[in-house]
Amino acid sequence: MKRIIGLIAAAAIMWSVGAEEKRLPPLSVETEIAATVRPTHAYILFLAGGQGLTVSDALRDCNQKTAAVSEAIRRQFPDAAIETEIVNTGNRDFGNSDRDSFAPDVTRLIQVTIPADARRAAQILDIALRMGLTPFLASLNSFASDQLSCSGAIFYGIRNLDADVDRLCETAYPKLWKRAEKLAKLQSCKVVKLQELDRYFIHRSRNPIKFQSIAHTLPVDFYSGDPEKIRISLSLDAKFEVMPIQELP
Amino acid sequence: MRKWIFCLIFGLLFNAFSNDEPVLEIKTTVTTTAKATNAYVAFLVRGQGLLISDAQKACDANITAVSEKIKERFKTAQIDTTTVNTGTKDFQGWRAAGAKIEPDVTQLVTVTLPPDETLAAEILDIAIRKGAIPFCSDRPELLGAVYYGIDNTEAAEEQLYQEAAAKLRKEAERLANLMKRKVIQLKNIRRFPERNNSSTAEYREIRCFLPAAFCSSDPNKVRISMDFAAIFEISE
Repeated sequence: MKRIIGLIAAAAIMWSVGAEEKRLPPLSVETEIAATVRPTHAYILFLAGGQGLTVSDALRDCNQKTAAVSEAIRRQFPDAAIETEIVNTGNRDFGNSDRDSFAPDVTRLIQVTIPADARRAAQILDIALRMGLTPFLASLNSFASDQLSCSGAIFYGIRNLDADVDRLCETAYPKLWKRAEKLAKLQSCKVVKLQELDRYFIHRSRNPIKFQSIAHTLPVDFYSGDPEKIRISLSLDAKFEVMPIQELP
Repeated sequence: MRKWIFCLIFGLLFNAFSNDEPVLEIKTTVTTTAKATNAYVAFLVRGQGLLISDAQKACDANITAVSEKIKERFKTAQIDTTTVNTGTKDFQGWRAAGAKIEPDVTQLVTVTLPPDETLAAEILDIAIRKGAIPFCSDRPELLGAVYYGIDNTEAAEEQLYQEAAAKLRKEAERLANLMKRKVIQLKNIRRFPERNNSSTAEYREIRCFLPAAFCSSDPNKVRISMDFAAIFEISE
């Protein structure tokens, strides 16, 4: 009796392992999708440079200019968020110098954040220009290869992408399923179900952006120079369970 | 009892190793050409002024003027704009500290039309007459300022899937024959995501993403290409 039970148990295990092995490997389907989304914020960038006989004078000059421009902007745009950051305390051309050619300079980078609005952003940059400040003119090659290229001192970014990404995935899902069905058909199979879905961004906008020798990191992953659109690219990898057509119930 | 435990272990091991069928992996690219369904005309419109706000207004006015003229010629033209510069006029060369800022706003305009070469040329001429700069892409895959693309590639894709399946099997059989084996079945097949550059035009580092996935400079020859990889099970 023991022998018979053992024999049956061994046969059952062998059969189940065999059945597992016969299952077709999952069908991998990849796709890339791109969409444009509306920016939520505008970032206006410029430099306040202070000069003087000494570095202390330069710092004082820089601080005065920063305070003046900040006040002027706040007066007209009370909702603007102004952040400043010292990017140079040294020589005027940001380079090394000997004692004779040293021209004291302190430069602050000023970033003004407002809700995305091209007209208001231009007006803020104009306030800075009228006060003699230098716009932070980022170059075209600041952008990753699949991003809209742009240049200038005004950038538009999006802070929370989750809803847009979910919407993008929803539109891509039927595309993936359709592609899986086409591939499965070539294998004389049918798609049974989606087993796994991975998504990741192909390229985020390249951060930091650069002007002259100054680098600045915008507080967003995706940005553009257009107040209406930011391009986001997403890659989706899906694994589908497939079954030979004759085995389907 | 020991005998049966031995039998069980042997059975499991046999099963684990007996299913290692030899396989062949084949890759292929299938290509077809199709007629375009749309034409895209691209150009840059600029605006300058004393201040950035003036430049912005000037650019908007120029866009309105050129759009009206285009609509006069072709009412249903779809006009899309993207700001590519809000800064200084020489935005590609401006580097020197202390150089004078000349406020400039530049927008890239893409006009979508039916795939008619004559109409596309006329639209580009209208834009040039209105002071626009033709967006002449210098990418080898896509030259010039007029491009042609396909809206729906479904039919062409269907045909390419069939062609790919036949090509993959033929290649698998050829290789299996060389190994004196036979192809038993197609075990897995995958299509690589499109990484074609034919839908991106580029002019002086400014990129223009065209709405169609496959584009060309010729309305009658839009190349659609797909990459596949397949795994075939072959006999021992």
